[in-house]
Amino acid sequence: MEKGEEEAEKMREEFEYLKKKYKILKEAAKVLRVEDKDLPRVIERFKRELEEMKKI
Amino acid sequence: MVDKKKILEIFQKNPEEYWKVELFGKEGFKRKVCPSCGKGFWSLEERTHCPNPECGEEYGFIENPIAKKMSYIEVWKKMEEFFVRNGHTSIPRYPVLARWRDDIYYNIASIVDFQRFDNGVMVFEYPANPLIVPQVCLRFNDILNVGVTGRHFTAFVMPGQHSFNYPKEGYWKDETIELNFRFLTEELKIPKEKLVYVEDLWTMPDFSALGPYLETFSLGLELSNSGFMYFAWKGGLKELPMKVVDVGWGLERLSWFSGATITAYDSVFGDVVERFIRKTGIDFDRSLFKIYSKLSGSLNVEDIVDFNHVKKEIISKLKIDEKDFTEKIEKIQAMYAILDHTRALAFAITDGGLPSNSGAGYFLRVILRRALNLIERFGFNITLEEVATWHAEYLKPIFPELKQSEDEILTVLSVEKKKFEESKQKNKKVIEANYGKNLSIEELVKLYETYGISPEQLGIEPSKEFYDLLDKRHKAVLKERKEILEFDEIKTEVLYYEDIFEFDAKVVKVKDNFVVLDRTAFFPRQGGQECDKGFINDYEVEEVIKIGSTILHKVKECKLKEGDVVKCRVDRERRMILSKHHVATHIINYAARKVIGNWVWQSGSNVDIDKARLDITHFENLSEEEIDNIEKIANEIVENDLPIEVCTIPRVEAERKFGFRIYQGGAIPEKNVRIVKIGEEVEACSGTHNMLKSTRETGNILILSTKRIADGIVRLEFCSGSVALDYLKEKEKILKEVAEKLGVEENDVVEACRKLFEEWKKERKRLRK
Repeated sequence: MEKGEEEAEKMREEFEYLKKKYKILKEAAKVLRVEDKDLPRVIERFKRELEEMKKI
Repeated sequence: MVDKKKILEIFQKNPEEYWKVELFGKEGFKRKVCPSCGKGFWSLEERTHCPNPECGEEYGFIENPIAKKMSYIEVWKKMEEFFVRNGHTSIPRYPVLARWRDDIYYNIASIVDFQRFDNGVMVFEYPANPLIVPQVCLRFNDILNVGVTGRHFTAFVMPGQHSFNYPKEGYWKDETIELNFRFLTEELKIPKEKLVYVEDLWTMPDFSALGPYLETFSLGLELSNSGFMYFAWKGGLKELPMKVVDVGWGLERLSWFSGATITAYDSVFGDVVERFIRKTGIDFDRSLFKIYSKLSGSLNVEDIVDFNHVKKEIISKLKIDEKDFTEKIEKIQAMYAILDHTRALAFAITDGGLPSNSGAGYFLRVILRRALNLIERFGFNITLEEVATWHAEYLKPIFPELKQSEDEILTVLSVEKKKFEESKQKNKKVIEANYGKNLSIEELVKLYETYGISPEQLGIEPSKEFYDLLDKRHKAVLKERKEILEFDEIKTEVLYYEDIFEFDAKVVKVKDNFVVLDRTAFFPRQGGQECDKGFINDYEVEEVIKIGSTILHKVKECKLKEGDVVKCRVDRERRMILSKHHVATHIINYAARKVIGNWVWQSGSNVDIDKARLDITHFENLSEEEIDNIEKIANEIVENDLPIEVCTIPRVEAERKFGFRIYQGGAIPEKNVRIVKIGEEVEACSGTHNMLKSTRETGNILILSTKRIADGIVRLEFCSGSVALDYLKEKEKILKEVAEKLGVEENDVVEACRKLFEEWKKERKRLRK
């Protein structure tokens, strides 16, 4: 395999790997019905609210 | 101010020069002037008036056949065979959507096939000479007449007989009329005494091209128009550099004349009429309809001021009541209209047209909903899909593409029917509130445009004014060039298609902050691709635009002077990303068409460095499965490492070789087009695809989002290569953060989210109780 091809193959593998991760993120965002970029903030909020509710 | 009448009068002073052809002398045709319309005409039989229905002639051929009896299909086959035998090349029809023109939506005449613009001047580009073409045309200015008059259509075939560039090539008037006469007398077997040639004038609306033409009539029916374009009006008659023979035959008319049926529809639609009758069980009282047809032959809905009055008059002449008129006449008219509209839709969808609420698709939706309304009003147990299938079958010997596109035709028709039903449900209240009201034309048009509610749904017969207003509001307008140079055009030498990123150039013009160089490697914003950036000396180039052949560079606080020699540097990395995204745009366009259907056309695009955007014609948003499949096919093309080929060839050659799909970005106003070929995807495009040798260099393509942005338009956003990887890496970071917050492995994030959400809901429920 030539150097260029090797690089392309590496990029493709990386792309496939990252796409799988992205799929998980999108799926999780769908569960909470938010945009994926907002997930960390929303999860934080859910956790906080959950704790507060449990206290009552 | 010159007008058509004035020019005709000039021609009429010398009819021998403009209209007389050898045949008239040889066969003994005599010229007379019609006392009614003043036009000259040539005939063998003694007659006082010209054969125009307006001058008193009635259709004499109905149930009185004088020509050889042939079907619609046979007439074309006979015609094709005759003209090929006489030195013509038979070429396949051009699409009904005139994508090579930006001043009209639809192909309205066979000559449109060969008209192109070269820097604003109309030129003729033809694949053969002389030629014959069975051109399907669509016209939507007579919708109300369709079905009623027995002779109006929205879709019709105009076999075009064309010869260009006489005397260098082709032929001129004598041979045109000789062929016309021979075809009609030898092949259609019309007795020569029954032919009359009427003198008239053909002209472009702006008189940029005009010439005499001869209309061929027989027994009151116009069978063809033989136009000879060789003048323009520029303060007087000026000869054009190219002489063009433009004969438009009427296949519907020839077939009607040959069949001598009561209406043209009976001859033209062949067995489709019978199939419709059989399926719906219509009680077709042919003898009554025959009497009606004679009355309606002279009917033109355009000229009728009070439609109800005329209807009452016809009812009284037919000696029937209104109920019988609806049942026995209007029902048949509705059948013919449905047959016509479905045929027009079948052609349009085959050629990539899609009904919508704007642009070219607007007229398709108008006729589609008119047909659906008629089906509902008369309770026909039939679908447009069935009728389209019958047409495709009947027309297969001439237009096999209809049969090949059957799946697409049926899909689009069924989606549109669903949309219509949904719109009716959604607008039920608006319909109820307006039903039976005396609404003005403007109000009706507003209801149609806002809610898609047609007059029929409100219990109102749509009038000619209604369709006229719609037509006016949705007519294609010639695109106006918005950017105007404030100085004389300066042709800039183009270097951006070469591997040049650093170059010297001379400043030839400075206007405000815009600099014109004698040559440039800066790619200007065009073809959807954003412009290059970089430096001219130390001035940062913010924007590059092209107006005509002048390329302007916008720089900050420009102090450059004309005559300065400057050192220029183009941002290579930016260009590379733009080029990759542009290649990805073509690939996505191809993949979308493969996954969704042939009606997918590029409606707009923007290629930038963070992402590319492609708007495609499609009737609904994409499903996840469709998005995945588009991305999959796109990445297969990337992986297959297909060569990216770029060449500049004559437009006519490109059309012949690659078809009209090359016009994804619209009409190209130049004689030579730059063709970009990526696998099976071939487009005329000015982008810098040449930066890449093959598709693998694009890098993997990632679809970021899809959205239905307008009726019939879906937007896809995507990126490729390192931009896609960077995007995904950002997402990976978010996933990592999410996993951390949830205290789980990345692969378990979805389940953890679900659990968290369920727990949250449960707690909330508990508290509410």
